[in-house]
Amino acid sequence: MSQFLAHNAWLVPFFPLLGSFIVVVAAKWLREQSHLPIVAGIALSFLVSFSLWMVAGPDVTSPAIEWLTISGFNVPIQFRLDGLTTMMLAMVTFVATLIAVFASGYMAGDPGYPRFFALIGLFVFSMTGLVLSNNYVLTYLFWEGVGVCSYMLVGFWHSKPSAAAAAKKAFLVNRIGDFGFAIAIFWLWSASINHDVSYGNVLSRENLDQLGPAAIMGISFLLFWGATAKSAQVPLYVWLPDAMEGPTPVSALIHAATMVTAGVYLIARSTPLLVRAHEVQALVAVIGCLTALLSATIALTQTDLKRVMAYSTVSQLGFMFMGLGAGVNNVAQLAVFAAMFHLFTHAFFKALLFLASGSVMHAMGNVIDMRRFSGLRHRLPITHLTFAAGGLALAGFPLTAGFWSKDEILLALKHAAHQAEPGWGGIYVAVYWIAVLTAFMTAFYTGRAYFLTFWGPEKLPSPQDPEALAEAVDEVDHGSSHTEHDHGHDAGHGHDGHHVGQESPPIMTYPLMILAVCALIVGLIFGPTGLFEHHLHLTLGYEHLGHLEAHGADWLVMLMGSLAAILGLGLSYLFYAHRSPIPAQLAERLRPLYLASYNKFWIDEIYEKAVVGTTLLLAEISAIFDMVIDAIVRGIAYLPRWLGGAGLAPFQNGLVQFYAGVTAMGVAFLLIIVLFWL
Amino acid sequence: MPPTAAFTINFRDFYVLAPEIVLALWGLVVLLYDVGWLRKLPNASRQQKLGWITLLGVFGALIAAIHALMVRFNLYGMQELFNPAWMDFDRPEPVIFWGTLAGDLFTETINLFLILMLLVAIRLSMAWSFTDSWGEYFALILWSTVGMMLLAAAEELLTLFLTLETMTICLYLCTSFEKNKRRSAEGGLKYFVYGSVSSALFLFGLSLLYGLTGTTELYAIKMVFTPETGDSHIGLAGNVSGMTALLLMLVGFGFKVAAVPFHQWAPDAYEGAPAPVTAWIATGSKVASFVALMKVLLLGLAPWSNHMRDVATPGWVGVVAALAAASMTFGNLAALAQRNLKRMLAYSSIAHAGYMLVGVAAAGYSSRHSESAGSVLYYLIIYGFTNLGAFAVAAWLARDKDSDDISDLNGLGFQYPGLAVCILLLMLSLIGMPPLAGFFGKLYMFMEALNEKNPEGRLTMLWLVGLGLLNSVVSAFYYVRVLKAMFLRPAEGTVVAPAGPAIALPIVVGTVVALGFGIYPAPLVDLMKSAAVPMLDVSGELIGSSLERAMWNRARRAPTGPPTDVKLELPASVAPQAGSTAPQAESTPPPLLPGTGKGQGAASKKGGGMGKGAGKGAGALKKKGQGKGQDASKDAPPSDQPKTDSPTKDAEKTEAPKKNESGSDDLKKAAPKADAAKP
Amino acid sequence: MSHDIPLNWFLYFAAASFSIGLIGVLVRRNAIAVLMAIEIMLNAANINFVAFWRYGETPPGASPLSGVMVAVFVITVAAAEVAVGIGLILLCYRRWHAADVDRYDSLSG
Repeated sequence: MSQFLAHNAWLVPFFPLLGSFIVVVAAKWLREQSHLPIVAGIALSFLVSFSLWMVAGPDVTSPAIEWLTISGFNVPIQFRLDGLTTMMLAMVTFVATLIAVFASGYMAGDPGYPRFFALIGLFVFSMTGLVLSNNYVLTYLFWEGVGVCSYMLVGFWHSKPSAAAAAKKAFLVNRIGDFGFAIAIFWLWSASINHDVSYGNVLSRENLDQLGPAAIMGISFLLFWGATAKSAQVPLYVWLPDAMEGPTPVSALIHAATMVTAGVYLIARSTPLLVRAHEVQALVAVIGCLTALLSATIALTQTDLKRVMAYSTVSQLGFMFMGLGAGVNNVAQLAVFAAMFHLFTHAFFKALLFLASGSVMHAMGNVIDMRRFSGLRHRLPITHLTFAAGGLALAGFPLTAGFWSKDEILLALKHAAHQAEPGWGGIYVAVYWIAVLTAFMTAFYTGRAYFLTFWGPEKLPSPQDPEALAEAVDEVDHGSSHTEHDHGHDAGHGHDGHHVGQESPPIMTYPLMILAVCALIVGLIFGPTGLFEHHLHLTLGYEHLGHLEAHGADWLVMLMGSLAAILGLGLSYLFYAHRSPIPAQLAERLRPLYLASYNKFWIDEIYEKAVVGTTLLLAEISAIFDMVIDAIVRGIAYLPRWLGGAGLAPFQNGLVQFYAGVTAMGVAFLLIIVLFWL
Repeated sequence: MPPTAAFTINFRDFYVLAPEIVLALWGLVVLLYDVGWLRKLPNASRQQKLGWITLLGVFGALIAAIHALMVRFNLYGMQELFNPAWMDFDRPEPVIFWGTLAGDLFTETINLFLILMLLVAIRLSMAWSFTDSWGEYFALILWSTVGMMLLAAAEELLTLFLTLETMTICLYLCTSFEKNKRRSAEGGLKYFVYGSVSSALFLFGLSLLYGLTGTTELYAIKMVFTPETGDSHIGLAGNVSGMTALLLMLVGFGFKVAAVPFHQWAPDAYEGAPAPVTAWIATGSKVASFVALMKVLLLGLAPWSNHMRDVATPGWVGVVAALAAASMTFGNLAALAQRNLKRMLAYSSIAHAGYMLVGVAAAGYSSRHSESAGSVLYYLIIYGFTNLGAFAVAAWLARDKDSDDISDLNGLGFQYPGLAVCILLLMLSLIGMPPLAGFFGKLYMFMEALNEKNPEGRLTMLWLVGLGLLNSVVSAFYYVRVLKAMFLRPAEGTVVAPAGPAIALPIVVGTVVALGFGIYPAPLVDLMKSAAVPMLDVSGELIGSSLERAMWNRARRAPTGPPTDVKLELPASVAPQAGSTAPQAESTPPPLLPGTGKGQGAASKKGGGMGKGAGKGAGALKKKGQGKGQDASKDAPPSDQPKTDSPTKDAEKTEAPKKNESGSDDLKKAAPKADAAKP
Repeated sequence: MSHDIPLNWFLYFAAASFSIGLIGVLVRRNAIAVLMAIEIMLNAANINFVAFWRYGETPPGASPLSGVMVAVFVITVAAAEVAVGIGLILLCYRRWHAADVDRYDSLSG
């Protein structure tokens, strides 16, 4: 049976591919039903993935299909079905199924409806292929595949210049990361036994033993470099917030739940290699920590609901990298389990939060600015409750999914601080405390987003909002046409606002409810029961990782995590849940009330001055940092262009005699060099 | 043996050249048909009619080329069908017309791909009416192809020069064919002036090389430069004339393949030429020139490749590595600044030449010449087809918008989604994104480069490959601009009309190649790997004059014996052999196409011819050679008395430097040499 | 016997005329003069070929592709090049009404 299933693992990527093929071929006839083949394909692939969960084992592979054999370089098509892969598969296909169902409601009426679903199918194909591959080259192949799908989907609404720019940015930043990954593969290939880059060979003990320390350091670093771009870490995280220009289901699926975790997956896959380079491990932890802190700080002040979620994704990915980086000595196993567990739970609650934001946006006529609506809990009851569930999980409220996984990461960091190489422990202590601080901030901004959206007086967006007007001015400044602005963020998906303020249709709310249940209980089911840990044990090379003798629940860490979550949520409740209505006429009419609430305002003032002030300052600093990084990324594009334009153009002056002269000089130059060599 | 035996023209020679002959004659037919029957017709219909007639001839050549490959691989029993007595298939690898041209698996493969590219390019030329002189246009394109095919087959430097000129002179003219366009005439003139200067430099280098070696045959040159077989004093160290000759010849090739700093004609000529001609210059001519470059460097000048062989000079590998680094970097940087699609593609093709030169340098270092060369060939073919598609996009713009700025592509993705997706795939392949063929080309070539075991060579290759990877990241920036224009920008101004079959064909063909050989590259990789073996060896199997010239050369330097003492007897294998001997069972045929049953079958058939020599010759070699030996010094130790060696020693020692090559190479070498020693 | 004049003299002569040709290509403005300079370069190479052929001993029965044959072929090629070159120069002259190579610089960058 298990043999049979392993042999048919190819069905997992195949079904979505078949689905998108059908959509492409039959787009004309399917039209409004284009989601059917995709939903069916992904669902089938989920069923297969689920059954594969049962057969997972460290060395279960599908039979290799000869594919590419060049110059001692052998890349067969082969799938590995160990714990890590099957976990990722099940998670990806499950979340993707729900998101595809949601999208069929959300995208209804969009002129690019078939295109959207064809791309979603293609994406799921690439993503499942990525986690199934049994060698680095095949992984790289699908790695690029998901990148291209992401590029096409971010730029799905091509008529918006911001979407086009975001797509280009995403593509190019990812190329920078891929460069590192490609070099890592070349290096692995040349340094490994038999020039075999399959995971089974590269991560085998003999191979790791024969790699020199420089190779281990270098390859680990390069792999991490590749991962930073895909998983949006400092300094290459800049593309992810911009990628929110894509349709919301895309943000949920690709830029929150699945694709961005590919980098984490890669590092987790290579953990047996990385644990041998503790310097790189420390770097991973520090970068993860920086990313988490930075993006959480930015998330505090965002007014765009989707952007809050985007920065929180970056921040949570930072958490995962902190976890991975904590894998020193005996903590290795615990650390990678913690990181992957966080990846697993994060996929559920972040997909949920994005979809719920999408649902809000859908109901608000594509407005996503939190200043323009509030008090929606009665109008959108289901969205409200599901968002709350996701928010609790993200905040790490005790017993929800996020709580368990975040707790594990904190635990791993704490152990790492004790177990690290002499002199490196201090780093992990710092990372640990920053992680706690970030957890607190996470809870706070999650609460803020939730209370601003669903609490307070009920308010629906109207075109007369000052923010709307400002936005319009902005748009005009940027020279885009007015029609584009009317469509707002998710331009062109066909809801003309006639049912603004209504709950989304059931096809959208059912996935939300399922995900909400998952977000609440998935941690409890898999975490304390050890199910997840047990499953991940079945991963290639993990059995040899250092592990602690026994680690029970660490109550102190749990308390710390819970405290951070509860404090953060509580503070946001105080600040945002019962905002006083500030409008001036109200203050005039009800003067006593106004005076009575003076105290409140005073707190607000304090908050404004002290908390918001410092936060703003921090955000300002991060914005500057963001700008610098952005400038560097742009510089990579512009400096060569400048070189090419101003620096090299004079040589191509159109005079053929000058060209001949350059040739003659070239020969003379080469001759001199060559003759006087050595 | 009368020397005339060598100069007998064999029917077989013409048979091997069938595709070239068909194309050359068809050029005349097209010209005459235009003058005779179509004069009165309006321009557009003349173009269509002539185009189809030209395509007919190209199909004829295609059939000839496919036929040759079918005979080689003995598909459908072709060898039995086409092996009449006069065909003389029993001879080993045909080296035709007295060793000036080769007719082996390699040339057949290149012919096939060149003709396929020509087919696409001619169909593209029918897209719109950019000139009046259609007869001349099509004839010149056909003749330039003849030049390219012969260039790929040339085994000798004069032939190489002549075919190079045939090709370029035709292309100079084609470049300036666009009527009413100043820039077309200007592009043509610049191409001409630059090309003539570089061919003069090339020729001067050739003359120096001739002076050094006394021969123009590549294999003989190799023998002379190899210390064991030739005069060991002709190394590269301190050899000013040798170095000058090498560099001047590199100028000629550098010009053809557009490598920095010999590239400057390319952007101007590409922009000026009508788009179909640009496509043809950038693909066909580049493919043929690269092949010739590899032949000269890896065959004729192989002993000068690096200082492992010749202490204290960098050898040509160093020079080629420098050219490669400069081309990649310069091409990509300059492409970033371009707004014009054709110019951008011109610079990008300079960058691609740089990548391929990395492969050539690797082949120079490596002991795995043929694998490395095979990787370059693979890249070349993929490059050719994808670039034809890319230039077809430029042709589309030129046809409908009369300009070819990248911004003219705006909104194309929504008007013509099908073709736009094809263009997307082409661009991604050119960037080197998996799983497209461009990615595998780079991967394969860079892997080969990194395969270098020698520590010093490894270092060079490491930084070259690193630079190549970095450059392919940079290249993403400008290719993405095309994608951005197509998919992420709204259409503005007038829109392009539907592509029509002429323009769609190259794009679709390019996409199919990029996708097909990306997803399943193995067949093409295998074919190119086996084609590279005869490319670098064919003259070794010969026979005719090469060996004999080398012998003569050695003798010429002997102070004791005047050259006239050297009794030059032509190896028997050149003369038609009467009667056929059954192939010897014990002779193992070289694996021509490893892994394919058909290839094996063909090899054994071919081996039949060689086996005859190998089986008997292995034993007969010594005796026969000694009997023929001119000097009494047949027992002299090998290396200290090179000047008085007998041809036998000669033949033995040629094998010495090849010891480190793969077994199949050894076999291939041994067989014909034995053949040559046969009476 | 030709050995009265050493081979080197021919080589110096060839190198000198080659350089003259190259300089001509680089500095003359008139396209026709540039074409002539290119011919000088080709002929310099021819001198080399013939000199090497004459001074190297000719093997009896050797292949006919000796230096002198190369020279004959190069002369043919040079003639073809001139024909094409003149044609192209005429074409440009018609467009620019000038035969100066440095006027043709509309393609650049």
